[in-house]
Amino acid sequence: MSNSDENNKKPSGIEIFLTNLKHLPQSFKDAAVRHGPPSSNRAASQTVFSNLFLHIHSVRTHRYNFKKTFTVGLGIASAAAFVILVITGVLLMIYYKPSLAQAYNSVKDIHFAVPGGRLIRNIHRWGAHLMVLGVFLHMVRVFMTGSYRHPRQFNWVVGMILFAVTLGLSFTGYLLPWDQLAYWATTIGAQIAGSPVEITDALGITKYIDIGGTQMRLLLGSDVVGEEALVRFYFLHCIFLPLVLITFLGVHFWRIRKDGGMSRPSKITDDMLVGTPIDVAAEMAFPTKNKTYGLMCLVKGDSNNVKNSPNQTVQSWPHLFNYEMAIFILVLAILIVLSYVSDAPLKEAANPAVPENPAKAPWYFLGLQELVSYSAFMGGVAIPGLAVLGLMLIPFLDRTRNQSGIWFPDKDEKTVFKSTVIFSSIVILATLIFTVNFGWLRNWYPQIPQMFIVILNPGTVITSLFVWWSLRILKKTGSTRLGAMSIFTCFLIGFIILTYFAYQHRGPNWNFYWWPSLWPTH
Amino acid sequence: MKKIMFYSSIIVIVFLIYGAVKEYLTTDWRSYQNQYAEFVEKDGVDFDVDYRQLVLPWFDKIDRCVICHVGISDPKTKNLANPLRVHPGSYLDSHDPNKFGCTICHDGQGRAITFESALASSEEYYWEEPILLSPYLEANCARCHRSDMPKLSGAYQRGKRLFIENGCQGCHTIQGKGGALGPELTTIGQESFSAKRPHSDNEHLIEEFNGNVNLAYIFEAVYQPKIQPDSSQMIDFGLSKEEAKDLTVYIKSLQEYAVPEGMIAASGVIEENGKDLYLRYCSACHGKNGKGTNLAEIGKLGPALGNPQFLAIVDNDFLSAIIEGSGSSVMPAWGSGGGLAKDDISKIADYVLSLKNEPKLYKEIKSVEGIAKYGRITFNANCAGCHGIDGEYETDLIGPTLRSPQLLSLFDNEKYYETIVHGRAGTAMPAWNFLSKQELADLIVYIDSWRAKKITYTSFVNAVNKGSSLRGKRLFYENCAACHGDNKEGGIGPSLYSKEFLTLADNKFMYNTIVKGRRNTAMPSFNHLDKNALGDIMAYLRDGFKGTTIGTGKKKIIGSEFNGKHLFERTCAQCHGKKGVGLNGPAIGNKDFLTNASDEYIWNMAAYGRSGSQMKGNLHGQNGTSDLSKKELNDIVSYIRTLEKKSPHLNGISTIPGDVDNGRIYFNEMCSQCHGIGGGGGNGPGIGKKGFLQSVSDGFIAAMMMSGRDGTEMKKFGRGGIVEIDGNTAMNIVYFLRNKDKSEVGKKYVVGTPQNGKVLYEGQCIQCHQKGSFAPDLMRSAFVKAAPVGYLQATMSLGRHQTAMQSMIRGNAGLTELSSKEINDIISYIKMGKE
Repeated sequence: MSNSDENNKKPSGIEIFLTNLKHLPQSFKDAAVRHGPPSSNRAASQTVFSNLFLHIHSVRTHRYNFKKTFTVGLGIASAAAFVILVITGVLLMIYYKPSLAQAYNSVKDIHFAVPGGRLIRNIHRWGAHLMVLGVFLHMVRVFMTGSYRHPRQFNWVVGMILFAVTLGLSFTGYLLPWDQLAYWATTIGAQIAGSPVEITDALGITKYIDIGGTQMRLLLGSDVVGEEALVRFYFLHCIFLPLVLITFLGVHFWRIRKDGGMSRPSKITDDMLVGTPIDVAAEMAFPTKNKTYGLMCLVKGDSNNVKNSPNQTVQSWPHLFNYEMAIFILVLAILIVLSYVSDAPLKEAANPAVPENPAKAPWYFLGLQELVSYSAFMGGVAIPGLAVLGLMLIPFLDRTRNQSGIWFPDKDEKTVFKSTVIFSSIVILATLIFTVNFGWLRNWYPQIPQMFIVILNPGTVITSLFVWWSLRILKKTGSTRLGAMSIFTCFLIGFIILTYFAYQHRGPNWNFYWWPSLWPTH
Repeated sequence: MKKIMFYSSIIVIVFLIYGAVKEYLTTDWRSYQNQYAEFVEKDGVDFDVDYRQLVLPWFDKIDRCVICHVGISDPKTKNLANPLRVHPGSYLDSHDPNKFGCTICHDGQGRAITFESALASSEEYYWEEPILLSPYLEANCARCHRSDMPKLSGAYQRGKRLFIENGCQGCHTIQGKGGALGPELTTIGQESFSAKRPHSDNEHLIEEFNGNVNLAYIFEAVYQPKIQPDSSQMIDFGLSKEEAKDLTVYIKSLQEYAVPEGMIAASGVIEENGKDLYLRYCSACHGKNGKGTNLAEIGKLGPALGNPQFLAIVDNDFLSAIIEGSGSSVMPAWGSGGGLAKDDISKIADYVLSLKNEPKLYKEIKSVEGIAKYGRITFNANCAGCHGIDGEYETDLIGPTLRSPQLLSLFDNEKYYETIVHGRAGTAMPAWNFLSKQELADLIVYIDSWRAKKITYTSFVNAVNKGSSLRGKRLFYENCAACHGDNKEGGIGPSLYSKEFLTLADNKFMYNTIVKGRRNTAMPSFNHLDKNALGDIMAYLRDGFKGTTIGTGKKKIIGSEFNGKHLFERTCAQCHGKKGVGLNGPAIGNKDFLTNASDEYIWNMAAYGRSGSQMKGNLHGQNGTSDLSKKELNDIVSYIRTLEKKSPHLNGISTIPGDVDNGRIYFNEMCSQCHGIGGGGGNGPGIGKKGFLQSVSDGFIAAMMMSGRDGTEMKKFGRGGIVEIDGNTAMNIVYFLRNKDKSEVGKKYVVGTPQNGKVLYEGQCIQCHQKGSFAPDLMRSAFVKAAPVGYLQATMSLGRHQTAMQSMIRGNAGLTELSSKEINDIISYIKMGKE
């Protein structure tokens, strides 16, 4: 004992400390990362489920998910944009001051004086646009590939909520620079919120039930856009809506796992998987292709492996993470390039006395604004309300269990899509051309009660025709999927054309002009 | 995927590095500061290249201009190129940059740190205050220098004059003052460039003004106003380009810039005179100098206020009332809507009144030979409408009858002339100074021709010799007793039953007094009586007088005027008034009296007194009021004699003592029926008005009362009149008229038949005066309330030269031939229910 004691002489405290100090980088790294780069599939799996940020993914991912033409990476891009927005947003919060006296100047300072402020603000602005666009296209993709079907109905609803919150975030952020653009776009938005006043006015009950006014005051904290609105929007934009979004985003991702991963067709042949990564070892390990698995009670419906052998899967690490990381960096690169190409606008400081003419809402609300120009209530509340409600309910009304995960799986869908695109384009263009050239009821009968116009206006005419068309398709084909397809396509085309029309062809006093350069300057 | 990741990463890294380099190494301000650091290093000064800014929380500004302009307060840099050069001039001595910063004067985007963004000379920079260059820079001085604008290049001052003289505020409001036809200009210098910008055809102006949309807009608005949309009523004033630029400087200064109290150099209001106020607010419509506007663009011309006939019948009260609130659709109410203070309005009215021609002096007229027959034409063309054809009495005339013997005997030609050229302010009598000298001379000669042929001294003496005392007693009672008492014992006139008087007053003295009268006193000329009647009166006067009339010699009495003045004021002035203007005693300072009375006459009167009157002898031993030596009497007489040359002008001066309350009772009982409450005027003349009272003496008023005016409705109130008042009452009434409060004067009223007036109004007036027609709307209550009856009578009777308003009264060859009564009917219709 004593010998060994002597031989293994207990190192002094100083020595231990120095040794530990020497090993500090390594031990810190070990503690933080725990695993080195995984060298085997097992290690890779280990890495995934032992990491908070990675474990939301499954360990293995189906090869179909990597098919570039399937998802186009839109969901990931939207999420990436959101992450970038959070980071840049937090940076902007350091310098931004949400008060009438300082808001505009603080944005000017961010632009001129804050190191990197201009770049951060530009990225934030472009990121917001990109996120709205990404979320919207993501929704279109999910619908068109029929991915809302059982068991993903609820995730579709969550997606709709995320879409609404995204618009809310973008809209509330629009006001914060407190310039003319912000002020008047928000005023338009608030007016849309207040539009039920049109119908309560027409019924003469505004005195008793002022739904529009209440909504507007709830939004603005006042009757006009002012300091109250600014603080409110700041709070919504920086705290409330991001928390809501993060929460539902978590649910959204979680549901993907729980609903059996991304949607995909029930039968996937090898030629459908051309160009996706392949795990040869796994192919070899499971020669039988008919074996199925079920994770009873844990995962609803068919799990990843049910009915399909796992040979069509690959390790999430590194394939999926590379994919995601690539899209993330791509999005970042796009935003940085755009930020150098074009600055985020900062017009003259908000001036309640000088209305912008035309005062246009942010681009994603322009379609609505066009409808609002016909009837505030119908365009601002009823039609979009019905549309959102209809969208949410689609998975419950169309309960067919056709192929999902494929763009236009059969000829019928393609035909219906094409004919609906043509039909809805004609309906909208014809209505717009008619309205621009001949006006509407108010121009012909100036004394007409507003109620008539609320009921019968270009917006309701278009909507009715859309509904009629979809019912006709539904009746003719007997397929709820095709009916849903046609109404969705109608609204999609409507949204695109109206947005374009309002963006490009509406000028001062919401009059028609071919180009903004033709706007009168006085 | 890996490729995407790789290239994206490269892009991100490259751009971030590029951004970092650009922001930190290659900024302009770093190189400028480095240059400056090198420059000052030669003098051994260390200069840190660092971020620089002026923080000015009191302006809510941060000016980063100094990040490049590091040498603005370093005089050594005067030879360096900008941005390092020292600030020109000595402005920084009084304007510490740490206190004022840069953009308070220069505008521009102070928060920016690059040249282009700081100038903001383009809309892309979205900065509402692009940098201002000279001379527009001057406009910003007004942000702090409110009433002490420095004179830099003068562009601001010239522009301000242009602004005032073109009457811009007639249509445009600044800080609540001005018309409402054009857009408000209070903050035009800060107008958002998305709200006000030049026409699209004029985009080049924006470049010309260094991208300053606001300046370009203001310049366009004053230089080419017609390029504005059709809805604009802006007038083209035909300014030259230079003038337009000056005006632009001034208009640019119209801002409500938030400057803390302590920073304002001088905040006082600039007091403006009536002329500038007139130019500022009125001249756009009424023309400079009241000549009427020459701006054809103003559809409805403002009346030319300099019109002599208009000025002849208006006063400050009426003008002020119209300016304050005309109630017209065209003319703004300057009191309530236009924001003008009462003082300013009164100043404007005074200025307008000052445009009157100076009346011609009587001397000038006397030098012109008048011809009565032309005078008659002039009279019947101008005066007969109100005063009757040939001046003869007619019922219901607007003006009094002039051809009344009593009036003619009290008013000499000069007096007539004065009334004609000055008019009677506040009544229908205009100031006729717009008539030519020849016309006035003719008129005077014509009026003079009404007078009876003058009784000669010889025929007077003859008549005196044949006079019958019995007839004389009756005549005295009719003509003289009202003033001199039933038994010659005196009333407002002196006692005539006095042996001292009768001894001294020879025929010559009596002739001069009775036939010529004593102007400015109550003693009229009795020339209109028959010479034999005068003889009879003389006989009655001397009846019962035991002595003989010896008269007085013409011997000049010489004494010390200085001493005399002293004695006069101590002894005589108590009754005769200072300078002999007359109180209870007669006006011995009267020129006519002094011409008539010799030194000896006065001496004797003063020495021995006048029995039967208050006048006692003052010579030592006479037991009179005073006890004076002969020498002292000499002094007094020689002093009185001096008064002849500087005889006090008695017009408008109250000399008669009296009792206001007593006078008021009698006036309201007897006179107000025709002359209106407090003499404001009714069917009889407004004798309580300043215009009348200033032009006549107390004696005139008293005499008119006592003798009446034959041939008019003015009856005699003296002996033998409808009511017999004594001298004291007459004096009290005169005293009341002179001393009443202004508020006691009622408004002139006319007695007319509104029903009749309505028919006439609709027949004669409504074609032009209809609402919306070219003539003013007469039924506006604001106008009717403000317009005195006299103004309406005069305007309708005379018309107004150079305007569409024609004379309406008969005999004037106007639009129509109304009688005075009909005019009064129309007025009573217009006024009905509005007062």
